[in-house]
Amino acid sequence: MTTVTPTPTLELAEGQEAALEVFEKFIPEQTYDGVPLVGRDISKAFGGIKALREVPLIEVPPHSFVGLIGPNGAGKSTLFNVLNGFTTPDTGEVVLFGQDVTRRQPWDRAKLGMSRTFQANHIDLNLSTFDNLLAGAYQLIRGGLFAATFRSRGNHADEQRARLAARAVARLLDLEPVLGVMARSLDFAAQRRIEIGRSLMSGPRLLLLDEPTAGVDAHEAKELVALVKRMQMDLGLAVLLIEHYVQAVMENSNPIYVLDQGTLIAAGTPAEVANDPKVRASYLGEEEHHA
Amino acid sequence: MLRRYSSVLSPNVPTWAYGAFLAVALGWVLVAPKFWVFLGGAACLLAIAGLGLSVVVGWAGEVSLASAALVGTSVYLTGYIVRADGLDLPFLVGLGAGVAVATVLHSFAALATAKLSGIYVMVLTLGLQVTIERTVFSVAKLTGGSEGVYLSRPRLFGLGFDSDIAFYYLCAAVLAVVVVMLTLFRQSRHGRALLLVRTNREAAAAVGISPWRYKILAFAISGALLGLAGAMTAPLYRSPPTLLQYLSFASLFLLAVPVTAGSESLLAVILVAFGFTMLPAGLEELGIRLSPNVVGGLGLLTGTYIGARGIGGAVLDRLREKRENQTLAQLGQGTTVVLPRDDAHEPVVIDTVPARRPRTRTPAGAGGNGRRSDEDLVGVGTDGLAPALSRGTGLTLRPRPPSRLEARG
Repeated sequence: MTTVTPTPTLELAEGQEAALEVFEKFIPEQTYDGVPLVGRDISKAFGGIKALREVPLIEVPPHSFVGLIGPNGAGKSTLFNVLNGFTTPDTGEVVLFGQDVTRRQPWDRAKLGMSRTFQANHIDLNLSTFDNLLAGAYQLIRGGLFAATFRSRGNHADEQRARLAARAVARLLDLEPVLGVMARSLDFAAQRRIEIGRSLMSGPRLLLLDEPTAGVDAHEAKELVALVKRMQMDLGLAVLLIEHYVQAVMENSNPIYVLDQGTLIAAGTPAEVANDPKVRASYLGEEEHHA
Repeated sequence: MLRRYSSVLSPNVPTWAYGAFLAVALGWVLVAPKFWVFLGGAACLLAIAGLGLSVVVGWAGEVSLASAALVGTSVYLTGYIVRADGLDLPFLVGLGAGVAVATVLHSFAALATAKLSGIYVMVLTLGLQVTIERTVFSVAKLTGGSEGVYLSRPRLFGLGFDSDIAFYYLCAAVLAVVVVMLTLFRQSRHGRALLLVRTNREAAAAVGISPWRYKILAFAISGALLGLAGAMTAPLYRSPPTLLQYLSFASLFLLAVPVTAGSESLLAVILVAFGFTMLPAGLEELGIRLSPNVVGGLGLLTGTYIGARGIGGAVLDRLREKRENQTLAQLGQGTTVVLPRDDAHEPVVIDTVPARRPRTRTPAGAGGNGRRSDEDLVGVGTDGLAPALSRGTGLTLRPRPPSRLEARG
């Protein structure tokens, strides 16, 4: 048996910048220069419950950090599921990087460059941080069943790149010290970061984040949103964020869409949304004043 | 080149341990009575079947109750193809046919339940088991009916495997190949994809993995290994066992192997298979009669009690804990060493990461599911927030320099 030693090519230089460079090389270039994600006239009903009522237009421009807010039951997650492909809309269309994907499966959308996280953590608690991150690199590693099992040259090279990228992502998310630690030994906030990291490892150009701060305290929530914002800016990602933590959305997102009872009640800059009477009525219970 | 495969061997197991294991696995048959050598061959084949089921149960998170029928189908089909009063074809042709048929049948079950899971898969595979019992097993030409059939052991590549020792070595070699291939598969992108599908289908789909495809793949691999075990069982017994050995109840016995061993360790599956085969015979020599089915039942109870990680996972957890505790004692409290499972990075010494840390979440009513208060939600202020969750991982986000875009102004 040979002693396992670190591969020289896996050495990652010190610092965040080195990690960013490694990760940028790992994820595919996005050549599409139009609006990455467009949802039009989307409706969805579950039996008699109308979860979405002809939401006219949701756009996620390139390199933008878009917020989607609304009270509980507003239809945010349903809209996310429609955009992501887990739910097929009754009416309307979803255009992803210029392609109509309304009827396409979520994994096909992921191949186009979309990824998402979930409200609850869906990581394997019995795997290490590293293995969880690496699982996200599925579509960026070449190799069919036999090539991957028997480590073909191309597959081996991609595996090495993915491992280095996983380490880079771990560094960017401050998970590097616990790469080899089982996820169940980590606290909830760290697990959230693993989930975000796994999504990043799939090489998205468009990232949908469904309440990434759910379950973490306010301090960590603020830092987590700032971290995601930072990564979005550094990597040039387009991000659509659902978040109950409205303050974080207001500070980081533009534009912001507001849903209430399945209807789009406002859209615009943070200031426009904050001053919108419908939004204030929806959130603060203030009565609408009509001029 | 070989470096690509070095990950098959665990860096936490010393070289001498592998050597000792190999010596014992190969050497014990030289001194053991003939009957025990025969049982050793049977145990290897049970281990192959158990590993096959482990792919479905442990890695895909589904339960198949058609395993005995698939093994039986392969036993009889291989026997018919190979034996003189059958098709009288080479053993490898029979083996290939047995593996292919079991693979197709198991994949078919997965296809039929592609969008379902849990109880639906169990019921459908049970239906497949019963269907095979009533169709394939009723073909006297295949099974030999009440007369039984005789089958000689194969010659492969100029080597004869007629003796029990030689056949044991053949079975052990095939088992070793299966273990290596499964380990490599598990470490590949496809193995990781399968585990992610087990964890959560939607999470897998979100990173580009088709859960349906991997469910079918798991059943296909499982079917192939069950077929392989069946094809080699035919010459092991020389006269294939009666179909009573492959009825529904036998599927539960086979299921007990991966359930007892757990999904964490392939070695545990092999050891449990040897235990299930050898224990009843060993006790019988002591005058204690214990049906293998009782052993299987006890295994199911034990595995269910321990949980999905099974005995293998429980033992590995203890070892990991012991290793980390030893390091803690050497380095002082509040420090632990992270031992990576692959060669991607060196061990890292970090602070304040106990091996087992109770996680606390925001109590209900104090922020509700970890959510912040309404006041905080609208950004008016931060008073009255839910109590902070337990942290203590030393993973607090660090302050960062300005981002690239910020630096550019």
